[in-house]
Amino acid sequence: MNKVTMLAPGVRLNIIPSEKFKTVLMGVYIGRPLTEDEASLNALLSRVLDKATHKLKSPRELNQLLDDLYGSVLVSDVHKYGERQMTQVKLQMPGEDFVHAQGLLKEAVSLLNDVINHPRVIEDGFDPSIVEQEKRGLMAEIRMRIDDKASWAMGRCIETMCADEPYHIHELGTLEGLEAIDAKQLYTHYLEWITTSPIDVMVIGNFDADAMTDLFKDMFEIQSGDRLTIAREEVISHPSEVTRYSESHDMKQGRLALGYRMNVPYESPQYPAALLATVVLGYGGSSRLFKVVREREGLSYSVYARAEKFKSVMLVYAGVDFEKMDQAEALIIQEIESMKQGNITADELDIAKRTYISNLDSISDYPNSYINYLYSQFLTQGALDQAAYRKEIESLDLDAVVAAMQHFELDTIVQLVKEETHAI
Amino acid sequence: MQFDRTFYSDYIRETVYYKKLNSGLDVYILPKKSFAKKYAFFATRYGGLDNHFRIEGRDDIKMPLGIAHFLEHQVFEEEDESNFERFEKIGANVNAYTSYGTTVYHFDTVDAFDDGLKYLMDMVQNTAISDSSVEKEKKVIEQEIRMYYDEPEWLLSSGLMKSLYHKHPIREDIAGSVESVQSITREAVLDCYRYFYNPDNMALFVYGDVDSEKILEQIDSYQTDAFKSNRFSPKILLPEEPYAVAQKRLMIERPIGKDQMLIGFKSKPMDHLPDRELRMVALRVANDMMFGRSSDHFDRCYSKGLINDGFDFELQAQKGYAYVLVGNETEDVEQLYAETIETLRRHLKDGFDKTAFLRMKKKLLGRMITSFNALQSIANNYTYSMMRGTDLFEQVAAYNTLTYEMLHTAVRDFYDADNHSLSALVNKK
Repeated sequence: MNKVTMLAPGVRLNIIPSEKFKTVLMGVYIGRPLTEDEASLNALLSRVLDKATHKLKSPRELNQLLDDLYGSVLVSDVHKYGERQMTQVKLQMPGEDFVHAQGLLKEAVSLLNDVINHPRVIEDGFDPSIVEQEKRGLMAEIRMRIDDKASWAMGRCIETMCADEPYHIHELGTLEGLEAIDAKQLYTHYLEWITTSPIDVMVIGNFDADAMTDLFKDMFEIQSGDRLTIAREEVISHPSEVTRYSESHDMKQGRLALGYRMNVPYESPQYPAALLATVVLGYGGSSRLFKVVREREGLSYSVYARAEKFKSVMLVYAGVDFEKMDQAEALIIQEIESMKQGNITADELDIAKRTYISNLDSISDYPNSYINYLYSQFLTQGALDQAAYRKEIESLDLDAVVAAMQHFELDTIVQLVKEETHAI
Repeated sequence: MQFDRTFYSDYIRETVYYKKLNSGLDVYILPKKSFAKKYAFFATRYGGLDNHFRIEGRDDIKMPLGIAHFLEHQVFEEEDESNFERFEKIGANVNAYTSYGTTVYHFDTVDAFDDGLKYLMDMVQNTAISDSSVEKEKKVIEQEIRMYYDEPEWLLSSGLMKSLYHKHPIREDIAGSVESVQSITREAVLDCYRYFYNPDNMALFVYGDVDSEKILEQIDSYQTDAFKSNRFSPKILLPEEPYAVAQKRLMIERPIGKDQMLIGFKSKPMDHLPDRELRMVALRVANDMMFGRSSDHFDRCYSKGLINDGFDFELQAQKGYAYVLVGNETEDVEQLYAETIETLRRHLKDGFDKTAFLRMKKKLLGRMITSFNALQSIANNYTYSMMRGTDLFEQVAAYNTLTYEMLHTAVRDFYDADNHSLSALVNKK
């Protein structure tokens, strides 16, 4: 059984024993509101933390310790959950008895604690050389976002659609924001971050729940402070007209992204039906878009829809020949309109339900996805009764799905088109 | 029906049951309790490299590039409904991939394994390939290929392969080119299907909470007569490949966020060596010691801002080829290139540090065990390795038997610091 312990107000420990795995995975989730002021600071902080500690003075020393811990993997990064910017620090190690090494677990928890609570500090700041390196690295990563055309198209769509809402902010921050940060300023932010952010710790693996709880109570330090409550996102929006945005790129294939406001918050009883509608539309090889846009019309190799739970937006993506962008766009809009009018077959609905339920049933097969999933539930409605939720999905009918879809409104269309080359 | 033998690994603590059916089909079953999903993989030893081959008593056959991948798409074709839909209706997901040496069809499901297995075997053993399905697929695959053309990593690695190899088909893309795909015909696709989709050339893998004996009976009974009696055994023909690289460097200009580089070290093929497995393990350990996160090289280049966490290296050695790739995004292609070559030369001359060697063995053993964590990764890794003719369980053991001396031998035999090629993607100003 999963065991939840409050380590301090705003700090939860979730222990998930599972005999299935040969590894132990520990994840620390530290949340902040997504704001222009903090985005770059939090992003850079996540990159600086896993490079050195008060004991391990350089990335090389830290990496050598990870090798000695039988190839344990330490990852620290920022993610966007609606209008929250979430730092995730994760450590995965092989189970002690598989590598016949007692004491491995303790060493790993101690390392995780040091990374979060005892970073390397020089004169009231982080190590300036590490900060500079990570700054350069992060800025390069931001500049390289444009190389992945699919995610660039969807990113542009979000930035355009939510231009006046925090949701448009990218989790990696901005070039200007990063440029302005120095080692001392980042450390000042860290002190605020470590004392005021809500924290969730999730641990999954083959172990005794009580022993693991005690180990974390003993070894994982909590700094005292009042922890923030992060505000719920605004999710209802009725665009007066569709916004269009187009950009030209030197590339071989056009990219299309359509942004919809779902206008169904996850608290709504209609939310499961709205989510199921997005599965019918664009998840997997028997989805409407795959069947029509790819299989019937041969317009696209990659075409899908995905929903974002916290902000209730749906993005539709397709990679299409330049000459057929308008045709594909019209076809996608037409299919969504047709579904809204009730044109969904019993088979389509049934397949979507099975797909959704099968994903639900098997999510505990993957340690990382499972703790992320449980964490996202903690953020929204608290722990969910899996069996009841499964039943609820099973009971959804055509009317429920069509009713939920009535709230969907097309907000923004982004086209990435071919760059015209001009002779000079 | 009895299994022929079992494979067990003490490190991984998993057992695989093996049987060669009368038809010649290899069956591997790894029963595993407590996971919700079950997996089956139906695979043929036929991939992107196998375009030139000999059938006994006939002229040598040359097929258009990309035909194995094209055939994979076509096997999904059914006349009445799509296979994606057929599987999803019972709560299963089906998919497939084509690598250089294999084509693999697989599905997973929580509670429709019996039906899914039947569908999978049915799908692969019967196909409905028509002129119109071939024409429609050309359009989809053309979009797939054009999507790759926009991926910087693809441009870089595909360019490098052409620099490393003069003739070996590894220099070509698995999907072929827009032009070669256009030249594919229904007859050619059907020929390849007959030649390579037969029991002697195929294997079936099952993973999950299943009754292995019952599943074995089912697999045996789901084979069609046509499949069982298909007895072609094509011999793959590979061109004579010169030892030296074809081209020393290739600079590609593109509008990109950051320059990228990839160095390829070409070596003699290893597929005929009896201790190939051990050599591969030795090279992986050595590469990690030279270029891995805790290496002097990584530390130096990272602090100079030449590389980031994405700095990576990989060893590939299969039918008639063997190479190591090293590369990353970088702000200075020339400097990272020079540093990398220097690191290799230094190790070839001075050897490796013994403490680092022991640490690296621990790391890679731990990583190997970790790769057997989620059932999905077990399924993918085990299938992939068996289809390449390597045994993952033996590989784990090899990390333990590897000695410091063997490491040096393997490295000196493999690496020739001069026989390399640089491929770089530089921002178009």
